[in-house]
Amino acid sequence: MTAPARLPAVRPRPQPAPGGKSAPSLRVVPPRSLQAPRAPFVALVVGLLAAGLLGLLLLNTVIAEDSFQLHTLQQRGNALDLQQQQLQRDIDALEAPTALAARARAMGMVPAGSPAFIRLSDGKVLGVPEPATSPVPIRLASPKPSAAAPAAAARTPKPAATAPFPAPAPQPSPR
Amino acid sequence: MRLGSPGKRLQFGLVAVLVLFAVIGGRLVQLQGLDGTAYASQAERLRLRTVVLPAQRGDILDRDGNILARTVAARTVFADPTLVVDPAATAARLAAPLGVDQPTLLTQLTKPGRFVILKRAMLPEAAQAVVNLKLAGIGTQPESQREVPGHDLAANVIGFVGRDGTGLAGIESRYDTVLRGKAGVHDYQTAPGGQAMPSDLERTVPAVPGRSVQLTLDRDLQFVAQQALSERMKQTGAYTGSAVVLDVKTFQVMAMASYPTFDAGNPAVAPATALGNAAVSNVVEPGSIHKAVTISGALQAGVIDGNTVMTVPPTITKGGKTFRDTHKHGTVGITLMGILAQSSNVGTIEIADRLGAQGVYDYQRKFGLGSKTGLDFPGESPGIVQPPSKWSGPSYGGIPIGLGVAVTPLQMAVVYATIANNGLRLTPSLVRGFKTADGDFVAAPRPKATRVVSPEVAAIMRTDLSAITSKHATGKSAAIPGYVVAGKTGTGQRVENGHYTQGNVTSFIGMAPAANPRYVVAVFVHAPNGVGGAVSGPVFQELMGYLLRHYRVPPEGKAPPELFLAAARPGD
Repeated sequence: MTAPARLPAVRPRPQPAPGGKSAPSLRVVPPRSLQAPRAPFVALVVGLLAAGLLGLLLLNTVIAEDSFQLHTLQQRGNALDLQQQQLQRDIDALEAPTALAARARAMGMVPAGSPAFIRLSDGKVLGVPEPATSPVPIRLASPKPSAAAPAAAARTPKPAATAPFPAPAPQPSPR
Repeated sequence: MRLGSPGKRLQFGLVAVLVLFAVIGGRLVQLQGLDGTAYASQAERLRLRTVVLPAQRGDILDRDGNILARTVAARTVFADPTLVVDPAATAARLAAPLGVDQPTLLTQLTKPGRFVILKRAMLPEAAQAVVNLKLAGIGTQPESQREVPGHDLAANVIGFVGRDGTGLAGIESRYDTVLRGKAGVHDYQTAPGGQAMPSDLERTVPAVPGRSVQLTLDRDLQFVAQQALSERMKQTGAYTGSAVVLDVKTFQVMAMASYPTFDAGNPAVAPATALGNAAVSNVVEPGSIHKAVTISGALQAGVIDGNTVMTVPPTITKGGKTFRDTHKHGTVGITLMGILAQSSNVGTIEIADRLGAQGVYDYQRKFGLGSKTGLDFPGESPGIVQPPSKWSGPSYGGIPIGLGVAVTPLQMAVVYATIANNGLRLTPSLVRGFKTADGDFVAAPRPKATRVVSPEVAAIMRTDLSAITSKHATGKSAAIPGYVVAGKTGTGQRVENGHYTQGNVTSFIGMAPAANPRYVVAVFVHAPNGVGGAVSGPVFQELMGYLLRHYRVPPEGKAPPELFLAAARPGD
């Protein structure tokens, strides 16, 4: 057992020596102070804490910033999607056969007549070519909208004065 | 008791602390152990938001990939009447941007409740303009809308979707599961303000967009078909009509027009009668176009051959009913070509007598009459053909010439396409394949083929059908300059609810170029009066003429064969 052996050592109270002769006094050397200087340690801990907090703050800021950026970009993406959709819709409307046919007619075009084919091997003309004819006479001068517009424009200012009953309140134009 | 003694005090304190800890411990066990999961999930519910990510519905495309129907983002404008400050002023300001009149808006805005829809399916830009007005109690919410840029273009084929985006008719309904896709979810945690918080609970299951359905229709051809049909319908004051264009080699439906029609983008305002697809669901009596079935069958069975000249009396009586020809004649010898070109009822009935009732029935079924074509279209009718056991006396005269038979226009188009395709009948198809959002294309299954008549019989039929546009025949109005058309006119009736309806179902089915046909065009018009050649022929002419020009089919450079009516063919 080590404890009893050490016991006297930790009890600095000296036993009275047997006999009058004083034995050489044994004294425990006070342990060398284990305490390192306090200040650097505190500084280290505070520094670590501060760095940790700062890091956390930075991390949060970056995440928050990213989420703001994400939000902005998503919004922009949505806006671009809408714009793309709008443009695609315009294209679809313009290239729909109905619209194409109507515009071709407005430009004075008529469906093609029957064509002839030239067989290259013997140069024979197959088919009966026919010039395209219009099923209805075409008014080349002006398609409907432009003819109607000036007439409507000329009429609009007047009815307020001549209308037998009050004209409807002017609708606010959408734009 | 004296609390002065430190021992007692300590003991008492210990007991108090122990009791306190026991209570806290008990509560802990209760909260964490017993009710724990409930509280945890409650807390999670408070933070966790689940957003359903709707799957984009697939498009419907034509054979070249042009858009026939697509889904676009739209907005619903709604009001919370309890938050609207001045309903009258709000209505006045909203009338123009919403395109809804003021009184209607005012009644909507003063309704009880907290959610009133003011306008659905607004364009996002237009809805934004409403938001920019910053009116109290007015808001928008996103929705998706099915857009059909062609409006009535192929509307009866495309069908339409309901308000919730589910296909209700036509292709939209038949291929709903393909088009629909699969909705995804996004789970995330939110801060009290509603911002998303990054966390490990965040989970995203992306939506799987629906696949696009690519049809076999040609957009331009479809337009011409609808245009030609509806113009003719208006001229003749007709009730219903349909036009079908089949590619002879594949039996793909290149165009399928139906009249009356509707705007597939706005089906709510269309009458119910305009929503169906007349080419597959209207059952009509074919009339004379059915003669091709009888005569092909007789040729294939060997009871007649290409050189047969029938001795045809002016009339023939079956079961007490007398059948006669439109062209008055005595007892004459008529070739098959003559019977088809002049549509001789008596001659056809004589041929049917040789073939027998069972034979006529067998060939009706082989040509696909009396059963669905396999197009797989909602609402398709199988038609009706009677087995010989159910034939009455007059049936022996009526059925061979297409009376008392019920067919769909598509079925008859398939009959003629079979003759055009050298006697091989394929399953007609309306869908080329399916396209994923990434552009991967999966082709539709190949059509099933059934041999009906031999190539030789089909060739004889094509020759004998090609006198139809000559000057003594019934289909002059269908002639296309430079090309030889093989075809047949027909006039029958339509039975609805067991009664013949007013007027005639006039039809013209033909193929061109006759020697090596590329396309079959079938036109059916239910008009108050008139016959097949006169009413339906011009539509055929316009449509087939366009087809040949559009797909650059050169003419054969031969004149239409001469019509041999009473005389035998040269060399006989």
